[in-house]
Amino acid sequence: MDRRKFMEFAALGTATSLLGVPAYGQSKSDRIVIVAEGGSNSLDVHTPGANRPSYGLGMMIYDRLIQFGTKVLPNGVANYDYFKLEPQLAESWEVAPDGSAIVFKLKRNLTFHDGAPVTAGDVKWSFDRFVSVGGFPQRQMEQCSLTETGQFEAVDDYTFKIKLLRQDKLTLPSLAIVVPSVYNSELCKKNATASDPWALEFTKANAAGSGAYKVESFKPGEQVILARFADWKGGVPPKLERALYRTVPAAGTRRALVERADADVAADLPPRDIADIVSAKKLKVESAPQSNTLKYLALLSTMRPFDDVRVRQAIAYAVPYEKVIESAVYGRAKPMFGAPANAPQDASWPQPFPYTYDPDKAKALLSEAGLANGFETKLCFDASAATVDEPAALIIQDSLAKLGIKLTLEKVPDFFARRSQKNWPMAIDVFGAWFDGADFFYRWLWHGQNTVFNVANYNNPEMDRLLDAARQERDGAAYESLAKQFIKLAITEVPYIPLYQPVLDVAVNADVNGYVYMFHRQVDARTLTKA
Amino acid sequence: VLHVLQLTFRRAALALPTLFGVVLVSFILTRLLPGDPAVYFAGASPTKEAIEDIRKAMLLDRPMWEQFISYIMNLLHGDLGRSLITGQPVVKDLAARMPATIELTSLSLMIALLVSVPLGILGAVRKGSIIDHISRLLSTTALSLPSFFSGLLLVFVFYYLLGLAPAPLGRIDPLGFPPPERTGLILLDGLLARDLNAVFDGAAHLALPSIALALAGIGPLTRITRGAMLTVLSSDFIRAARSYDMPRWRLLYVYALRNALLPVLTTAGFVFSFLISANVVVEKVFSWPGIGSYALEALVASDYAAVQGFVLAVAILYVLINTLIDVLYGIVDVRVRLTE
Repeated sequence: MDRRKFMEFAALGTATSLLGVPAYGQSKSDRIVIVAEGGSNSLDVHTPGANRPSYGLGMMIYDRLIQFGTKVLPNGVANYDYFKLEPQLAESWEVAPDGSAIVFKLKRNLTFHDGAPVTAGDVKWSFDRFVSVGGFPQRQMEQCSLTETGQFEAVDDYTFKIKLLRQDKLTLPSLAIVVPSVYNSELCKKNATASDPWALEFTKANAAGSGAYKVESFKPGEQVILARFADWKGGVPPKLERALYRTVPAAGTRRALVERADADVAADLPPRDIADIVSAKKLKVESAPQSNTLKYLALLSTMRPFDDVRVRQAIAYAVPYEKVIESAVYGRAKPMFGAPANAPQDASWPQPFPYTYDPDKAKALLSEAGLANGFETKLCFDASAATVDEPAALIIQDSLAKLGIKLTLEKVPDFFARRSQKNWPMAIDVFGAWFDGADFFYRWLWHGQNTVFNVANYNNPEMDRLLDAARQERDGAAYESLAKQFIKLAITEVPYIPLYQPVLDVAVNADVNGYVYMFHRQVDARTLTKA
Repeated sequence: VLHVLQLTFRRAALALPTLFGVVLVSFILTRLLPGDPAVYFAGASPTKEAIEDIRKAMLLDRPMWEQFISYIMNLLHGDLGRSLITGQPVVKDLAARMPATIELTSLSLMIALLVSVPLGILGAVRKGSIIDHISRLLSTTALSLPSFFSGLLLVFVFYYLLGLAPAPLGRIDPLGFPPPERTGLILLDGLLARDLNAVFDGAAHLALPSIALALAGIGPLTRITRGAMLTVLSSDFIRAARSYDMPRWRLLYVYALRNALLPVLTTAGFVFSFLISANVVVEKVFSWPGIGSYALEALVASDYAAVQGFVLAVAILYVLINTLIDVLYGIVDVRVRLTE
C-alpha cells in the first residue's frame, strides 16, 4: 500500500469511526486472527530473501496449475496429500505417451484480482520467470528438472505445454509447491524496469495473483490483512471474509492471546506450552508429524573416532531415546528408534531405525574399536532451537559420560551459516524435505554431492550409486527395492542417528475448524472456519 | 537565545567525528559477527548456487574496503541500504518505526520522573523515616526486575487475569484505524485529528509497556534525586535561607530543588539512552513495532544494513539528547552559561 492510499484509507477510517460506524460491518465470526512468531517480508516468494511466512502467504494470494489434495491422519488432523494432485488453474493435464511433455488445459473464465483474464501466456511468463531470476526459486525448480525457458510453451490461450528434459518423478508434484505461482503478466510487465525486467520490486509489496485471498494491507514483519477474492475459481471458496496475520515475537504473549480468544490461532508455540495447553483442555491442539522431517544426531564421519563405523553404532546404542523425547519436546514427537527388524520392511520415510538404548552393546562396540576408556569430543547445536535441543544435548552428554566419553556442549548462534564448514564432531540438526519419498530426503544428507545439510560429511560411492539409480526409477517395485537397500545402508553406517520426527503443533480456539497441515508449515486460512 | 543556538551548533559539530566513528565501528562489527547472511537468505534448499546468487546480489563477494566506501557514499546521499528481512530501504523502515519507539520511551521517562522525583525528595526530606526506607526498597526492586520479566508479569496480571488492558498487539487495535499520520506519535496525531477514540486506544496500548519500561528507570532516578537533595539541603545557602525563616515550600521547591536538578537532568539523559536499549525486550513482549524489535530481528538474520542503520539512528538520538541536555544545563544553571 503506498502512502497516499494509506492516508485515504486512514482518513476514511477516522470518518467512519466518528460517525460511530464499526470499522468492519461484519461479525467477528467472519474473520480470523492468526498469530505467529515471524511475519512475512515479501508478498512474492521469487524475491531474494523471501522468508517462510511469505511461502504460506504466496499459497493464498497466488494460484498454481495444480494443488495437493488432503488426507486425514489417524489422529483426525487433516494433512496435505503429496500423492493426490488436484486441479487448480488447470482443469486437466496429460502426460504424453512417450513421456516427452505434459499438456495442461486451463479452466475458462479465470481472472486475476484486478479482473484481467488468466491465460496460458501468463503461465508461460511466470514459468520463464522462475528459471530466470536466480536464487531460491530457480534452484528449487532445478531439483525437479525445470531449468530453461525453452521447456515452456503457450500453445493457445488455454493450453500450456511443458517439455520434459528427462523422466523425473518430482516434476509434476513440484508444480504444486510455492514457486510455480501464476502471475498477472500484463500487470507485472507494466511495472517492470530496465534493471528489474521481472518486476520483482513490484511484486514484493503488491500482489499480482488470482488466489483465494487478496491483500488488503501489508506491513512487512508486522501484519498482513487478507480479504476473500469473490471470483476465485481455484478450489472450494474460503469461508472467512478476512484473515489477519499478526507477528507476535514473544511466545508467552502468543499463548495469552489465544487463551483470551483475542487470537483464534497461535503458531510456533514451544512444546512445553503445547503440553500445558493439551492438559488444560481449553483450546484444541492440531498436531501433525512434520512431513519428511527428521531430527538427528550427526557424527562427523571423516574424523577420528567417528570414521570408525563401530564407534558410530556405539553412540547409536548409547542415546536414551525415550528420555530425549520426553524432556526435549515433552513427548510431542514420533519416535524413530526400536524398529523390530534390522532391515527396513518398506520404502516409507521417515521410518524408525532398529537401535535402542543399550549401554552394554555400546560398551562392547567401543572396546572392539579400542576405545574402552572413552574419549573427548564436542557436541554442537543450534542456539535458536535451544529450548528443544539443549535438554536433548544434556541427556546425551550425561549418557555418554557413563561410557567414559566426555562431551563439551556448544550452543552455536549462527548454526545455519557455520553448518557448511563441516567441522563439528557431533551435532544435533534437523532436515525437512518438501517432496515425499526417501530418495529426495537422502540426497540432501547422505549423498556425495555433499550439500550444506550433510553435516556428517558422509561420502560413500555405494550410497551414491543407489540414490542415483532410485532417482531415475519410476517403477514401484524397482524403486522400493533400491530404497530398502539405501535405508539399510544408512542403518548400518549410521552417520546420522535419528532422534525423532518433530510434530507441528498449532493451538486453536474451540470454535475454529478446518485446519490442514501444509508442507510449508504455515497456517493456511483458506480452509479454516469459525463457528 | 543566540547564545543557546551557538552552543547547540558547536555541540552538533563536535558530534560529527563521533558519528563517523560509530559508522566505522558498526560496519566492522557487523561483519565480524558470526553468521553468513547469504546462507540465511538462500531459502528452503540452500544449494551452493543459491548461496552464490544471494552473495552476488548483496555485493558480499567484493572486498571489504570496497563495500565500506560504497556504504559511505550511499550514506552521504541519505541511503542506508536495503533491509533483507523487510525488503524495504532501511531509512524507510527506521522512519516508520522510530515514532513508536520515541513515543514509548519518552512516556516511560515521564512516568519514571513523575514517580521518582517526588519519591527522592520525600526520601531526602524525611531521611531515615519509614517512607525513606520504603522508597529505597521500591526503587531497588524496580531496578532489579528485568524489563522482560516485568513486561510479562504486567501482561499476565492486567491482560490475562484481569482483562483490563488491551491485547498486547502493538500500538493500536489491529483492526482499528490509526489517526492520520502527522507526527507518527499516536497520542499527538489523535489529538490533532480530534479523534478521541484513537487517543484512548493508543493510551490504553501504551500503558503497560511504558510502565514496564519506566520501572527500569525509577531506581537510578530516585537515588540521584535523593542524594542531590541531601547534598543541597546540607549546604550553606540553605542553612542561611532557613535562618531567615523562609517558607518551607519555597525553600524546598524553589531553592533546593532547582539546584538539585542538575544531576537529575544528567541522569535523565542517561536513563533515556538506557531505556532505548531496554526497549528491545519490552517491544518484543508487546509486539511493539519500534526500532528495538526491528534491530533484534535484523541481528539474528545478520541483516547488515538494518543493524548498521539501527546503530547509527541510536547514535544520532544519543547525540541529540546530549546536546539537548547541555542546552538545558545552561537554562537551569547560570554558571554553565558564564564559563562557556
